[in-house]
Amino acid sequence: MKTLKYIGCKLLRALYAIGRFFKKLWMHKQGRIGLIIFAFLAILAIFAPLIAPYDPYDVTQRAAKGSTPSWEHLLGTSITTGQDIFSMLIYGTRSSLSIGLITGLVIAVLGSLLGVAAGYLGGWVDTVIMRIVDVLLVIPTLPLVIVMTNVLGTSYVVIVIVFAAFGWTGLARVVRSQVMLIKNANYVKAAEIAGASRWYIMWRHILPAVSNLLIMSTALTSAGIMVAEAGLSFLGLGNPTAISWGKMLADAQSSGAMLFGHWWSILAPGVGIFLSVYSFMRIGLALEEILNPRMRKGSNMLKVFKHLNNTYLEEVFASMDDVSKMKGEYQAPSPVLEEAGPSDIAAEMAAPEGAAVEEVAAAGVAGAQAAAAGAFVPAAQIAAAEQAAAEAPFAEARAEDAAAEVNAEKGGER
Amino acid sequence: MKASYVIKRILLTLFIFFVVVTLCFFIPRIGVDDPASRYYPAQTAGMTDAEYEAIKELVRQQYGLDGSTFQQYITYLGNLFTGDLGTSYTKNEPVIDLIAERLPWTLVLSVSNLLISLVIGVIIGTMAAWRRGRWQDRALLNASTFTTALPAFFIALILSFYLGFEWEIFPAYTDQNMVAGFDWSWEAISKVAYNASLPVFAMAIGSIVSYGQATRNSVIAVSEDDFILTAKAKGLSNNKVIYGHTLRNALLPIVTQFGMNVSTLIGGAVVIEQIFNWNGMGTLFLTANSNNDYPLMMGIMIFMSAFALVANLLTDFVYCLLDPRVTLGGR
Amino acid sequence: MKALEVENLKVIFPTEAGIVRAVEGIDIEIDEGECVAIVGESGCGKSVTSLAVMKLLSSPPAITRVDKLVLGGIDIKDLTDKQMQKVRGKDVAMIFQDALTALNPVMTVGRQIDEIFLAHGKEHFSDETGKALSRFARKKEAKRRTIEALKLVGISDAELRYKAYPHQLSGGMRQRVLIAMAFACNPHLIIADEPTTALDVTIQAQVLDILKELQRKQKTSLMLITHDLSIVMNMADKIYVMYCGKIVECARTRELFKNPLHPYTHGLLGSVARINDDRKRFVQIPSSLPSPMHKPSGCYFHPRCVHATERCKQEMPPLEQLEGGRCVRCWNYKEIRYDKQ
Repeated sequence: MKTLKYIGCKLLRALYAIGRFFKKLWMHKQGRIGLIIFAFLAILAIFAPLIAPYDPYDVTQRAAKGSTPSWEHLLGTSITTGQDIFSMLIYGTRSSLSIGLITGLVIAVLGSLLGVAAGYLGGWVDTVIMRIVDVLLVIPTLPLVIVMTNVLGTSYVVIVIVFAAFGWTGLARVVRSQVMLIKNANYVKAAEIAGASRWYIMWRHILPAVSNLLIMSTALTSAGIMVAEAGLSFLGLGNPTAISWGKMLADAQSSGAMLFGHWWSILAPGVGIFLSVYSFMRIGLALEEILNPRMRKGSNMLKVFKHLNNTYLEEVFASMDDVSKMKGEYQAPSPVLEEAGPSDIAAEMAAPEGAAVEEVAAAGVAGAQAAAAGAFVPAAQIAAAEQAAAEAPFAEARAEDAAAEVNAEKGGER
Repeated sequence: MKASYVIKRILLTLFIFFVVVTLCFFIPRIGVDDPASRYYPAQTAGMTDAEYEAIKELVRQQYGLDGSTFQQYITYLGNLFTGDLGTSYTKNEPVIDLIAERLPWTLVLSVSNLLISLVIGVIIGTMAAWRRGRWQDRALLNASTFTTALPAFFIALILSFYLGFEWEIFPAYTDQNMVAGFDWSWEAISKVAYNASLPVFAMAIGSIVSYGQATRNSVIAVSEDDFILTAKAKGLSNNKVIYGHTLRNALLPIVTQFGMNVSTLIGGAVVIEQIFNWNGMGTLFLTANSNNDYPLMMGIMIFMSAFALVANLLTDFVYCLLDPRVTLGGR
Repeated sequence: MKALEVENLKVIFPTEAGIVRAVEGIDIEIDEGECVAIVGESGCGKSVTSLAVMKLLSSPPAITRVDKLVLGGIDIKDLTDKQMQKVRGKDVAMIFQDALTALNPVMTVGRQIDEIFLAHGKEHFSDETGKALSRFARKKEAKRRTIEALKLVGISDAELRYKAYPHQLSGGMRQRVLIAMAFACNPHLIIADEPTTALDVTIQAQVLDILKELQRKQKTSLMLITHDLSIVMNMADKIYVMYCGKIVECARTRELFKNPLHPYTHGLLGSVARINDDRKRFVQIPSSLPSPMHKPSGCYFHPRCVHATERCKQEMPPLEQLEGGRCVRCWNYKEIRYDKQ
């Protein structure tokens, strides 16, 4: 009972963590795009038999060979076999996504285990693992994969195993260097001194610290694997029984789609590959940005500067002045106006006052722009701008027509 | 210190090469009792068992597959030491000759791709960093996610469809006369350039953007360093700050990336060569694969690995020369 | 002539979360040959002030306003970046905190100092007849001067060190290189931003000695920016105490140490250890610096001030000018009596 409760507790916590993770990703604009595309493709893949109008494996439709797009066949049919390209496109989601995801997960497990082992245990374990990495990095990947599929056959399992066996090196390297950083952190040292076992430290301290990195690189390696799988099946070396986008491209090319001008039979599988890879990359890159927010500082800063409100800035600058100073500087204009209270004088004042406000506001804007361009602003301009801020109420009250425009602009900005 | 590190590094390289060679020896022997069975065709209908056995025996002798596995291995290593990568099964020519025949053609593609993308990529990346956050920068960022999601072979197909078939600006397939009649005349060279333009373009789009993005990130990271502020505080001109201090440091990671790309110079164009029917190592490898020509396949693999190893070694040494912090012993 | 006159310098950093008010209108005056210290906690706007004086704050992220910015008689307020390049390094130089990151890692220290001479010394690089030197000869002359400058800051084997990369030198040596760099063109003003914070205490003393000696010998003005009052005690002639982007007190060093007027200064002095110290414990300033985005109302120091009154919570006190060039920003400075330290 107790263990059940314990497991339940752990499960809940894991679910909570996953939920929070997806929420974070959803809040990130780019990550949301990736998630939406991925969800769309996943639905296509799962419900492919329901969505596809024809059986894509059906090669008996001799009559409809190489037809152009129509309402009957949305993307036409293939030239040699007459398969419905739209249905093939939807079924192709299955092999691409599943190989990408499964291989990505296997690589994540393999790469993180080996990386953590190499980084944390060090010594001969590290040496052996890093030598294996060295060897695998030197052998050209695609030819090696081709040779392996030649030797082992081209079934689904073999392809996943081969990609995983040669794809873990990059992740292992990154994890290793990260682990070596954490290993020397003081909190891990403290745990070691307190007598924590190696496994405990790996599980409680090191794995959580690299987990974000892992999720990120799983998304990115999955994307890479999907490209590689498409290339392999384009060469005719993928799983021969499955329908895949790479094979569709190869068929289109070899059956002369180029000569006949069937651009859709090339474009459609290409777009499929692009969308699936793009969604994974978006998710991966969004995670990268969430992990190190420093990467996006620049563009945001520019956005902030673009939307800066100049009048507000002037208020900020003016508010920094000492009270005594402000009294000294801003006494001059107010008494005259207050003594001259009556409305006829106010009307008389309206035109020049309004013009002055406009001018001053313009000076303020120019001043802020000059400051934004990195130059210092002449004192006169600052003073003028500050006066603009101080006098704004007067202008509003007395020079309605002229000032209204200016203030409308300001209001719009604000 | 220095010499000992160089020797160590070279020994390590030799060790890795040895492992690669061993792998290449054993891969064709996975899953079969008699390695020779990978080298000869299946028994055809009209062939008697005795005839078939005779062929097998002939093949074993010809390809050094008689004796125990260990003996074969020793022979294999011995041959390799003298530069003999074996004999092609289908073409009956030494593998090394076949490679030598195809290598220049692959290098034409990949070297021009590498140089073009390096130069243009670094220029674009520097510009994007300079105009950080403005449209140039955002365009590069969008292009980089776009092109990395687009496989080069798909770009190649689209290019060959439009530029090759529809508009007929560039040849969609390589003219095989280009190879046969090559005689270093201007005409022949320009013909090669004309035929290579589409494949190079298809490969370069992606790598230009990736160099650009890497340069941009590196330049921005460096320009936030303290010593850039020092350089400005010294009153140096903008050009001095950019070329003398920022770029000099920012290009160090690009050297590493360049080295990595050099190491995949021969193995990286397999699919592109296939699409354009280019007469290079990639198509040689694919033909060997479809004919189950193992000596040729393994020979190409070993050659590519050796090339990558040498490239890595050189990159390391060049990096040491460029970055004084990385002493040859202390990494 | 004053070495530096700054009037009403304001710097803000607009961010997504709001506007960070880094420097809120400060005035600084430095006489020729004088050493002036700006003291305050980290985050009070000291470093931003120094960069603003050099006009090295880029925009974005910063927006700078100043009423008057005169450096050694040159009004640099309206100078463009291009014009400023001629001033920086020649009339005003800077010594940064962390010499390891402040030096270009892939360039020899010698060449990094050469650059200053080559950038500013064009008019000096001529032979007896007044003809400009060739490129090669200019470089040779620059090298000669660099080695001289390195010797000046007490670097032994200057010819050898000329060819060294920053990572090959010790921390104290690197800081000396930075000092040599700053004094290279004999500027009116040198701004030293926490010049010894990254160093060991023993090295600190050496570096400060060199700095002081060079400053006296070359009659350069020095603007010393630090959080460490114990350094200031022997170096500075005048001290500005900064808090939250505003100057809260300024005084001659002796007077400030003898009779601090602002409670913040008093707190800072209370945390300095001295010989013959018979205090049981140091005086502390409670709590910590408020966020520069959400500063308290009234006097910025009132949440941490034991003497705060109702008025302090409402109104920001003005910077009151007292006799002898002293100034203080406090409503109650006359009333507050500190225990004898």
